[in-house]
Amino acid sequence: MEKRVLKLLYRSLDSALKERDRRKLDSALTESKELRQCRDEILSLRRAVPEGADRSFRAGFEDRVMSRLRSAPEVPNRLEILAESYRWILHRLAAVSVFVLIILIAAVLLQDGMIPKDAVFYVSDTTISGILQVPVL
Amino acid sequence: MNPNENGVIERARRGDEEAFREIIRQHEHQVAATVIGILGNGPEVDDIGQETFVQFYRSLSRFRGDSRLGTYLTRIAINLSLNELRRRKRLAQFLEPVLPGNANSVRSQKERESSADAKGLVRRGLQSLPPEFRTVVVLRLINGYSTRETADILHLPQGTVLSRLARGQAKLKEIIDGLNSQKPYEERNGEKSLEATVSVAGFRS
Repeated sequence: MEKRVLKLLYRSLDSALKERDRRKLDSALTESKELRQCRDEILSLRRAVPEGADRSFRAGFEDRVMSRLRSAPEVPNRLEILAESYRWILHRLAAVSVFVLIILIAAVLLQDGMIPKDAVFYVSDTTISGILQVPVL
Repeated sequence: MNPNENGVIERARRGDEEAFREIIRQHEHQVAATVIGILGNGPEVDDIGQETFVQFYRSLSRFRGDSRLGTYLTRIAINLSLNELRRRKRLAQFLEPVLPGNANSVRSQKERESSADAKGLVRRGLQSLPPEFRTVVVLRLINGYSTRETADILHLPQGTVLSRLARGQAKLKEIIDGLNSQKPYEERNGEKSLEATVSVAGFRS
């Protein structure tokens, strides 16, 4: 059976064919018994699919949906979702910052055995002397 | 959207429980056909069906009525069902190396039960189709949507829907032929309902 004709056959069941294609299919159907048999099989299959379909949930579906709606928490609005996202990001940023700070302190302690007071207050002699030595113009 | 439907939605939006119940009653069968068509009749379909209506309830304020309510609900049901299929696939991949024997034996038991009648054979054939073909077959042949509506729901070009439909039906026919020939000789000859389907469907036994 020609593949192109079979494609036309399937297509004809779900959409309108162009006049030329329609003529080609009709003539193939007239000539080929095999194609007619195939068409009948496809049509039977298309009837069997919806006939075999289950279309119901278990009894009491409506009540189960309503009870789920009552027990489900209210959905937050967009602003709340945004605030929650920021909160989530900030929590993680804070955790990472604390971790980095601990690593830095540990590194300084390991290197010098102590943390200089200047480092704690972020003031160094170099900076101060540098400031003092700035020539006055 | 028809005025009647519009009125019910408006009432549901204002918190009228009876109106929302009416929506469920009107569309339960359509949602069930979609979810069961895609997932098969397992224990999780009820949950997916419920979630479809819960998600719709939550989006009531955003529902503008551009599409029909049935189409909107079908779209939610399709998305949830496809998510469930993905979850199942992941679970199967995770469990396969651990429980191959058990999984197979459970499946073959279910398959035997399911294919015990003619409708079961068609259902099982449908479940064996790859999801991209199954969704178009369910929407077009079970739910009765036009190819254009099917394309809209799945966000696909109409040509893709038509070609998936053709390939899906060809595959389905092939699968059912295969399943039918796997049945034991006595079963094939002894069951009137199956014989009837075989002749109705025109499948060679």
